[in-house]
Amino acid sequence: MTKRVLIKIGLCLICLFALRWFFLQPSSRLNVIESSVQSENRGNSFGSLSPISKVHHDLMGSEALAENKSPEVDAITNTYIFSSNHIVTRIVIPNPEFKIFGSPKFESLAKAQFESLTIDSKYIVDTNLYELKEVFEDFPAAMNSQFLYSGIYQASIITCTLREVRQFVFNTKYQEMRDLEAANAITDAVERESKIQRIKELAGGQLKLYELMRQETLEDGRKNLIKLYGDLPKPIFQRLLGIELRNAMGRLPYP
Amino acid sequence: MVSEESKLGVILNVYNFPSGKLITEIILPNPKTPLLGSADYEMLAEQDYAKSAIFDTNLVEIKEIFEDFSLAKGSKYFYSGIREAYVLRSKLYRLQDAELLISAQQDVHEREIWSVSDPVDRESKSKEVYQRVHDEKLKIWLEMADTPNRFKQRMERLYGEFPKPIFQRLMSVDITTKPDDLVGP
Repeated sequence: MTKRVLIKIGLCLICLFALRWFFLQPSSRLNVIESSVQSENRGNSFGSLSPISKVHHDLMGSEALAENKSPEVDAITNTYIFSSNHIVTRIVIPNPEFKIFGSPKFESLAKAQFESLTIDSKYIVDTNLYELKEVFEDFPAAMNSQFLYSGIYQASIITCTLREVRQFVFNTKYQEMRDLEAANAITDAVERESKIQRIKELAGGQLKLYELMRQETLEDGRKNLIKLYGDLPKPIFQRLLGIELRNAMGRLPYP
Repeated sequence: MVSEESKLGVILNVYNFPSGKLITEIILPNPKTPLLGSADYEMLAEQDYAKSAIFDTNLVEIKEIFEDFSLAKGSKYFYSGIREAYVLRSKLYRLQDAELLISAQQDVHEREIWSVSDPVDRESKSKEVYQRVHDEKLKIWLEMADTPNRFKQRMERLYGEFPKPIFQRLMSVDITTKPDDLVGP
């Protein structure tokens, strides 16, 4: 999971750095940015990432290959079109084990991973792993399926990714606060105001992107669980989300 | 950490740090806030819900969860529980922020240490700063652990019992706004 998340984060950060460069540098840099952030008909509203008008979103997991624009790299392309006509493309490369998600092989790997972190663990056990299992035990479709541990693994991925997104949100707000402090020290009023506006617009755009990442994580995770069990009652999903693991369950040993 | 709450709402927290430091914290309730479990509190909680749900729609989600909790739905204190859950989720969010802020200010702590030119004094300063940061983090962690327990106790006071599934569901609702104080006229 960590590798997949890191790849996600890396690609997302590339887009964000591109945006940051785009916003905070003179317009002569714009051409360079266009290779990673495609922009169309930007007009005069360079700095405003206004509310999203349209989102193309390919699902994570095996379904993604069907709509993938680059099948040779197994990547999932998420395209965000902002109403200011900015397009942010985020490419997510899933961990290879997700090619077999929903199979008995994945289940046996997830079960082995769960046991290595609980009954077979040499270290302090995160009891919240048992809590996750308890929730699934109240969900007959999961208990009657052959995929109990696949669900536990998927639930752990959702909550750990949400925690990482939470960290990004905090970092963005903190960086904005520090950038604004620095900008307020600029003596020239026009330059100061312009800089402050750009900082706020950039932070706003980043926060919107993180909110989309949060929604995607929830939606992808929910769909993967439905794929396993055919159904996922809202109370069960809420209970799973309410249990926060201290650490991620780690990658499954799949080539 | 030892934490106790009296029936009058006075909270006494005693933090005993590994450094040997002992901090006693006494939190007095706002005299204008009615006691939990009173009709006045319920009335203010309902008014607060009507006002706050406009800005934070996740409050509606909290209400939906309480509607699935038959003891709360059938009690006179339905909105009091919602208000408590609202405060809980908001407080946990702010505690997470406080924890993240300490980590983010690593460079500030480093600057404080390196502002001391004498190497011996700097070493002593370094220990002092790291101990202070550690104690601050520990205080946040203890509060993070205590806050849900206090919430469950208050729910049990209101409704007689508080099922774990309801608590788990409430813990999934994100509240980023800060609730206004619940004060009477």
